[in-house]
Amino acid sequence: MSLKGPILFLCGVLASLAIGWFAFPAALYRTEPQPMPFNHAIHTGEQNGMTCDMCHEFTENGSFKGIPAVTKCADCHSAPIGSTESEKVLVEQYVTPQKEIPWKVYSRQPDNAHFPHAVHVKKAEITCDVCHGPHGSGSSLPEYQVNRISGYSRDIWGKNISGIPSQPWEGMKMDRCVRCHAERRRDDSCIDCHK
Amino acid sequence: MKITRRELLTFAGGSLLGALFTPIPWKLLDDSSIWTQNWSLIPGLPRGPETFTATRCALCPAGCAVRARRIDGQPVTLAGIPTDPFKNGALCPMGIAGHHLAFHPLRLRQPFAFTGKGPDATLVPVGLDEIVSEVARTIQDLSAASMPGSIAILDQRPGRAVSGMYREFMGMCPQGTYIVPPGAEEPTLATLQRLCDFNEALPCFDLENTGVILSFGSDLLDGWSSPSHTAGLIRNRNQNGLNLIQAEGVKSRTAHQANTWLPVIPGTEAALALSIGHVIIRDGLHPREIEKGLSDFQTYKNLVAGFPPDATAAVTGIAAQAITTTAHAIASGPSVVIAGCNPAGGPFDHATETAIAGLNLLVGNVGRKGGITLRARTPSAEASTVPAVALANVPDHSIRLLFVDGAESGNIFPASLLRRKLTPDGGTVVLMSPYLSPRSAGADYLIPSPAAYESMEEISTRSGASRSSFALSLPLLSQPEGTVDPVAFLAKVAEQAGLPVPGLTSSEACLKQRAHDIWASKRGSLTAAADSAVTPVQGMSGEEDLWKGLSEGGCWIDGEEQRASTTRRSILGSITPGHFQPLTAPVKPAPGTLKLMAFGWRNATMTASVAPVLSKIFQESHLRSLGGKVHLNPSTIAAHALVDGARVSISTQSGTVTADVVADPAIIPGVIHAIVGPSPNNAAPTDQPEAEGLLGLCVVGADGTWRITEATIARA
Repeated sequence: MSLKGPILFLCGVLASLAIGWFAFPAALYRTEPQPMPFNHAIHTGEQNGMTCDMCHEFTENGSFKGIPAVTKCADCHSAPIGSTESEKVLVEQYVTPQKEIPWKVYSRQPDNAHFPHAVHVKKAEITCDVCHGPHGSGSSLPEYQVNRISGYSRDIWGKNISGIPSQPWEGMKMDRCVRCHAERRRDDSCIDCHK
Repeated sequence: MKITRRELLTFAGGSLLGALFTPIPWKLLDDSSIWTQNWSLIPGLPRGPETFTATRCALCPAGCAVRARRIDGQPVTLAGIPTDPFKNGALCPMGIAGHHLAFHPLRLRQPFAFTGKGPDATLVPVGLDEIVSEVARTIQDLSAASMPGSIAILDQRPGRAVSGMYREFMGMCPQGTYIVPPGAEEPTLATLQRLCDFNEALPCFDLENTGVILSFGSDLLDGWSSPSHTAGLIRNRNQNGLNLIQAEGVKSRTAHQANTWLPVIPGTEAALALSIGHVIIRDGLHPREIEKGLSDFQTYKNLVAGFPPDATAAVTGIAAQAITTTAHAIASGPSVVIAGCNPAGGPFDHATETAIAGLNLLVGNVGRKGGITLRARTPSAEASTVPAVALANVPDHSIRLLFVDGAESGNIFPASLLRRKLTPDGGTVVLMSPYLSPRSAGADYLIPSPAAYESMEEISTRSGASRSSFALSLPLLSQPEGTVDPVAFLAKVAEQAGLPVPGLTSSEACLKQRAHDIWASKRGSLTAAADSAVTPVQGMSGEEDLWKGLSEGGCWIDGEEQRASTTRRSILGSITPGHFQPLTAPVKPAPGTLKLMAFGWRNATMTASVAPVLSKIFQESHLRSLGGKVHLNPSTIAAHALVDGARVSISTQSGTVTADVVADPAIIPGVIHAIVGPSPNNAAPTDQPEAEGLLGLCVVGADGTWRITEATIARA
């Protein structure tokens, strides 16, 4: 009996596995640069001791502002603090001309998903790192990878292409919302999130 | 090395199997589904500045105050305003999705005409000018008396500024009739207006100061007047001491919340009211001066003598003790007795309304604080003398040309009632409505009027309110090209037909005229939407100030209510004792026969225009049923060998309709509670209107009512 057939079959299997687990993720995601470097650690660390909501603040009506506007940066950076290149870029290209910084948002969700930060942060008292991990303490921004098909950040699916999170905060798909709601006995209807 | 075809296929088979153990198929499936959500042709949410607009909901006459959250001008969320001066602080399930309705699949965006009549009629787009010419020609033929019949307009929400224009238009037309539909007026107050002469004022309920509300089937928490206002009073009854007694043949949500529920057998409400009157007179609970103040007190006394509680109990299903307790409750202090009106079940007959409303006169509620007080009419310089005629009173087969104003009244009535008023050939019906609805089925021409929040609309005084008010529902959306203002359409028709062109040729002009009339009267004050600041009209420098305040979401409210002074009071009016069924043993229905009672939620009954997202909520939550369902008591289900969820055929002399059974212990045995409204998944294309459904089974009596129809039920 010739082993050529089974070997070819096995080769096919191995080729698919190699492509699927290594080549496919590399082809699926495209790395896009952030407009400028940003060091969360300097802001939230011992040097300045800022909390997340000092920049990512809530409005008077309770809604969440999300990424801070450049006017918020200008509160401290109206003139360069230090002589780094990123400081120069911030002041010259954005603060002085009052131009918003086109940050790539790692956690951007589809329009049909409504996530009220106020309810989660203020009412349920969930801290930022539960969903965003150590994002607020990094000394540089993580690599922003965008899915070529869906257009969303890789952080939504999670770093692991299998979808199985290696860290509890990884992934921002609906199954994670559902799991967390179920753990907290918040069995809500579709309309609560999908407006 | 030569690769054979077999080897290639073997390799491909292995690849295929291997691929199943990689993320490729599952991830591609996930990503491609998300990709389809972001196609450029799929409308997305706008991004831009967040703003808030104070406006009002015009989906029913309650006119609840609305705070619209807008992103880049587009309304994304509607919410009630708890601090509204008229205490309309909450929105109903229809109201929270009011801004969706402009995008409803059954939305009309251009004029249409039906070719032919009946089920074979097809809907074809036509030009507006073509319709105007055709309608104008019909008016000319009627003017020349070369065609029999009259011209009429059915105003679904009378009392608005545009209603004045409608009357003016009818005044110009030969044999013009201005018609109001059943349920357009609050039945208790309309009956009291027939029984008493309030001069120029209008009666109203002083609910804030009342101690007892005896309601005969009024859906106080779901649609009557302003449910959010009434719900507030009922919620605070521990503080205000309010006692709510609900007499109704179904344990509705209002009955659930009532202090006492009287499960009266449908059709015996008049006997119950007269029996309560019997106890009041027997026990001397009425003020003595009433005996002289009522012109027909003795006739009434003789009538109610035939309704002792013991005998009435056997007919109505209400124990004699409960009748006596109720009579003592409403006579113990300020109270209000309300004759209910289900948005789909229609009004009681005149005799029943009189028996119920008359209790207010008997216990001295009229003119008493906490009872029936008076309010002045909203200022209007309206000069038209064309009277309003109830649809039921229009002679049968008399209308040749009918205009139907498609404003949302919250109520609906069987199409057969309207059909029998038209000339035998079906006449010509012009419906001015934003949507294709069950009402469209009988129309010849459909004029697409602006949908909710697409144009400025009037919020006039809500039914039964103790003071007159006037506010505007402000547009949040732009009108699509092709929509036609009903007033502008009628002005065009008048011009083409050679009639004098009405003074006001747009809805906005009518509203400005009403604002001018209010300013000229110098009455009342304007409450600003932004800061609730109150500015007396008298202190305004010009009418522009009033219009500006109204255009910014403000509300004009008249001054203090007046005390009721009447020059004539009768407790029976034109109703004679012969109009009431004498007490006899309850008639057993024929074997297998049930009482069909139409029921609907305010607005959901009116058109097919429940927002699709809401129909999903209705289905998932089961808080409210939509059309195509019949609720039956479990004992009725068992007696007819049915099961919960069964598909059944309901038959009356009007025809047969299939529906789904819902087991509901809140329904009394022997009654089919037929839900009227659009079907839950109603998103049909605009080529055919929805059939009338269960409402079409109701038989309209000679007096224009359709509350109870004998029906049979069988498994479909």
